[in-house]
Amino acid sequence: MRFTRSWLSEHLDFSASDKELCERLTAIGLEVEEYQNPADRFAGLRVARVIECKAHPRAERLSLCRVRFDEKAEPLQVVCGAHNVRENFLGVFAPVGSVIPETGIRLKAAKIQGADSQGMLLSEYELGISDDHEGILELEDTCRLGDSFAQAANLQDSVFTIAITPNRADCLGVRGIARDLAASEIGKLKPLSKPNLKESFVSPIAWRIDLPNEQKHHCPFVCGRYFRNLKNKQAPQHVRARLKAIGIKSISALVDMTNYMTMDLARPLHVFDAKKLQGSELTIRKACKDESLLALDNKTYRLTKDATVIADKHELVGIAGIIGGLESGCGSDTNDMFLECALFDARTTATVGRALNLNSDARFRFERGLDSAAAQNYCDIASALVLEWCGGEASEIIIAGAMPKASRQIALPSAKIKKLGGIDIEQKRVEQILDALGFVKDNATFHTPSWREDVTSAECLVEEVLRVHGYDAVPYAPFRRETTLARRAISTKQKRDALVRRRLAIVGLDEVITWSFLDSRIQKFFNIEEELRILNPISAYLDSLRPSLVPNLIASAAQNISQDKLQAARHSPALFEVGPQFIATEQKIQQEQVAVGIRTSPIEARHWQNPAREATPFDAKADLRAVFDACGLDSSRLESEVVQDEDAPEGYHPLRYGIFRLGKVLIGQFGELHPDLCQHFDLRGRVVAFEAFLDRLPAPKQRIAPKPWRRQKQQSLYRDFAFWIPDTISAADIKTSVLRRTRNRIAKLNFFDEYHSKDERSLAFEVEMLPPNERALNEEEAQALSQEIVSSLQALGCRMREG
Amino acid sequence: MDANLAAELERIERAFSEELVQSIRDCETENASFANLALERIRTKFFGKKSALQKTLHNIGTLAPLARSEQGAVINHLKQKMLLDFEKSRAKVEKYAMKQKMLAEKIDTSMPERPHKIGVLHPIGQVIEEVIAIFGDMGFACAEGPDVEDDFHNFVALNFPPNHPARQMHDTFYLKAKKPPDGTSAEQVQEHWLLRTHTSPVQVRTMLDGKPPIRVIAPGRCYRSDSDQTHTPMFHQVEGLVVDEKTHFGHLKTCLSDFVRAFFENESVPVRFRPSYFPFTEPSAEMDIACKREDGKIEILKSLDEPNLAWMEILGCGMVHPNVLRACKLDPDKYQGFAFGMGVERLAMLKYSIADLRTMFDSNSAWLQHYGFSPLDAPSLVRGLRPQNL
Repeated sequence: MRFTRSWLSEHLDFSASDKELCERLTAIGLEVEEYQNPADRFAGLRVARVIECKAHPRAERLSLCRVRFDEKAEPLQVVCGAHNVRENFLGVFAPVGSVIPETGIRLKAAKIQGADSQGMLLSEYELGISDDHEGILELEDTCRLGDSFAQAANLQDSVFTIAITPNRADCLGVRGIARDLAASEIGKLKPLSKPNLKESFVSPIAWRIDLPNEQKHHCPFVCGRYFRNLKNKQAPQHVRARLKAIGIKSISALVDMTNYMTMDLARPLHVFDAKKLQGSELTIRKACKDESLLALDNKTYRLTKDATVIADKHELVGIAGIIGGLESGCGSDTNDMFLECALFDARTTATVGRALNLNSDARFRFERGLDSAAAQNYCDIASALVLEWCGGEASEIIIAGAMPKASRQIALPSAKIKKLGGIDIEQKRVEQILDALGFVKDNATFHTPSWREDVTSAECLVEEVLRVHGYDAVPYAPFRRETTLARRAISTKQKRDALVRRRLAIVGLDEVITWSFLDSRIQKFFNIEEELRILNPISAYLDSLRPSLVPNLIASAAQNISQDKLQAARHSPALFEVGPQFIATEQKIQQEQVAVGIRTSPIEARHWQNPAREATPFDAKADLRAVFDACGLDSSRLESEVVQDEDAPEGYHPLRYGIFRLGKVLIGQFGELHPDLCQHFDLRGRVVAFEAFLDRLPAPKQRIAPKPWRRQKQQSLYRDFAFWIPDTISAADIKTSVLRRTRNRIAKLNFFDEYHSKDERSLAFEVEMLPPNERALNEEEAQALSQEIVSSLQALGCRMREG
Repeated sequence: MDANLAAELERIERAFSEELVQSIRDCETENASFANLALERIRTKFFGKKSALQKTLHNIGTLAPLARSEQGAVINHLKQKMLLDFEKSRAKVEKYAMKQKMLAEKIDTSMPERPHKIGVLHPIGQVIEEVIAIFGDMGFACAEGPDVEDDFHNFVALNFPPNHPARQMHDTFYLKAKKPPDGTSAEQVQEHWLLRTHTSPVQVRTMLDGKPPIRVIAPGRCYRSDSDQTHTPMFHQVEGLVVDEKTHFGHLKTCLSDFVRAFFENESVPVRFRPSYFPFTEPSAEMDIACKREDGKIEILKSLDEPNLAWMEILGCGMVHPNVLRACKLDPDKYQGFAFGMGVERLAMLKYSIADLRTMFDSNSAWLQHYGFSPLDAPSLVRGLRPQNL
């Protein structure tokens, strides 16, 4: 919302400076976003007269002038190159030290072809007011010598741009702003004129509201007037200047009038060229299916039955509260005009406007709510402007429907302001503020004014009083925690996430935050359920919720590599993210917290001690185990499992993939990414990833004081074994089988060698045999335990390896 | 003493020391292992069973006891002396041996090592932890809510009426339709799941889940369909909510101005509360802090005296709207309190001088190295919010 200082003074009798105005506006909730004073641009430029003008002795095209802008001072010598300069010329003079508005250059005294020049006479171009640089600007003789240019050209009206919050429909007009300022003791609100109109004839057009009962509230009231014999020329100069200053182009007196009313009183109106209307009735009704309107913006809008429209006998002439029709609009040849001043429902206007994607100043105000009681008076004010600016005669007022009762009665208990606002304000001051804002006191209650539909409760009244009195005045009240002990602020899960993030950074991965979205075009690699699609995506790249974080991480890694291939060959990206992934269930869309990491090759750059090393799934497996450890899970007794090729999920290399389960629950997976996927992202080396499903892990327990520590008296025994094992048996099978058979007598089983011979595979491992209580394991017991291990593996089809 | 014996002992001693000296010389001229062999030979030759010294001992066995013990003492004395010399030489040789071994092991330690690679944490997480540390000290606990919400939690309960203009500022992403409750006709407009446009739904969930007194903050991801220089379709907020029977606007002012001072580690940053509008608070305010903008850089000020003072919005806040309390089954005549919400990216950009919002989500390794944080220095009030190695 924009307005100028002079416009404000139409409604407010005030003397505050622009700076005070800006500060107060912001302080009462009408935030000043921009303030512009044209006078600032023209500082130092003066009205001056050329009192002598002769040819420059050394340059043919230049004139040597003596210029006076101060009766008392000596005239100054100026060298001027303009063809139109002459004696007695009244122009704009820029003395030494002033700044040329268009170029921003500060003038210095100069010597031009041997002659001193102590300033410059300016063209419109140099003033920045037009592109005309043919000669210097000549001012009308009425301008006073020595005045500033801004004064002389009447360019002093400062422009304020303020942000109006959606609740303050009343401040979408200058009068509302003036009222707020008056309440905050900046000036006095001037009374609004009640024009005395001469109504000379009966309108040939009548209003009819044709809405079903349940939709009557879509237009409870409409009024209007017929005008004839008017001339649609130009609005008065001061009105055009004001509109221009706030960025509205002047079109014709009638259109300017509607714009002026919109900005002045927040009252959108519509003017029809009455001769272009068919029949003797304008009807407000619901649109029929597929009805359309060629609107004032030259676009055709197809309507649904939700829209409220204005129609004459044959066709639509306007969409209620949003835009009028082009064909029935007023032009320079309009002599008869019909003025519409209606109350349209905010919700319908908003829905229809959004569906049509049509923004207008009218819609903006209707959907925020108009002053419902003022329609008729505003119609009269607009009518008076029409008669004043265009001449002609006005008809009687035409009305349909009834003005709704808008006022509410709200109780404001005297203690409420102190209790909610934390400040004591004198009752007299409270009443004074509310009165100035238009609230009418009635015992301990207040009637809301018709322009404040947003005020609905005592809390709203508290806000009104507080903001006008000033939030600054509210004293700071001590605010501390209520217990002596600081509680742990974060939940167990949040702490878990924090530990996982730190753990992963410590093992060398960089944390990233990627979109919760996904590009559904990589559907062929990751099965994205239709149910995760965003119905109104911002782009095709972000059109679905992510069912996994792997795609985003691989895309991030690929982007890093493509940005700097040479760097990536030396320091390849290793990234992780802890965040949500989504799954659609029949009922809803669920999210679960996951930690996902990716490592690209080479995982270790070439080094003089070793060649570069490619990433293997075991790097990802180590990362995954680190996550489990950070979550307080003892993963040393946990081993990953190999799954059937066809059970491996999309995105992974099916034969280089493993899972961790806790009981039957999948808690993590890792592996090398599918070569097709790597190729899609143009990744050359092998890429490995892990996914830890944090929400599926048991909640970590708070650490309690442990049992007293005791040194283990007896030492463990260590034995090595080597077996030829069948193709179908995995390392995990061996580990599980041995540990299950030997129960608690073996602490650890650690593979230290793998050997392939032809089509056979041999594994060697070491076991730690625990001593029984209080004594060492003897040779016979160790032998028996070994035998148990051997026989358990023989049962799996493994053979002891000889030698 | 027998002159022959004396001469013999003298000869043995001379021969012994000559050979020892030679072995040490061997160390220097040949090498330590050669010298070691020589020493072994000397030991056998001079102390072995067949050595001359052993023979002399053997020979005196036939003498009278007195002479035998006298001569025996002399021989043993010599033997002890020779053993001592021998050990000295051997120590010398071993020292040489070690020195030579180490010489052979010489390496160039100025060659590069294999570094331990340590990763960095993203600034968003750091800032959220800083915010939690400050509010945690004021007695706030952390709450959470889902990213996928429904109309009730994101809008209705927060007093956004349908089609209210305030909803337009929240360009909402919509997902699949909600399963309609049994018995509703297909004619009714289907309600869709949506991505929360702010963290405020957590207010609703917290109030529905528990009774006051409530003091919670809720950090999390939010989504709006908006993308330009200063907006990303996903961003982070921290929500705050205090509900009890007596907390008023004066408490709000203290809580939030204490927060910004602690967060920016600037005891005297001027703040102001400016009336604003949010559907879910009444009265509503925005908090600004004083700053100075120069060459695209923003500097947070310490006093109001600065000539080029500007105000910058830092968060939105207000007293919880009675309609929100009602929607959350709390009696607005009994309970009141305040709520606030702030953008994490903005806080991070201001505190750590990050110029471009969009780079936050680019996952660029070089950017992460530049703006990231060490995982070892978790922010806390007593150890400092801002890491040392920044």
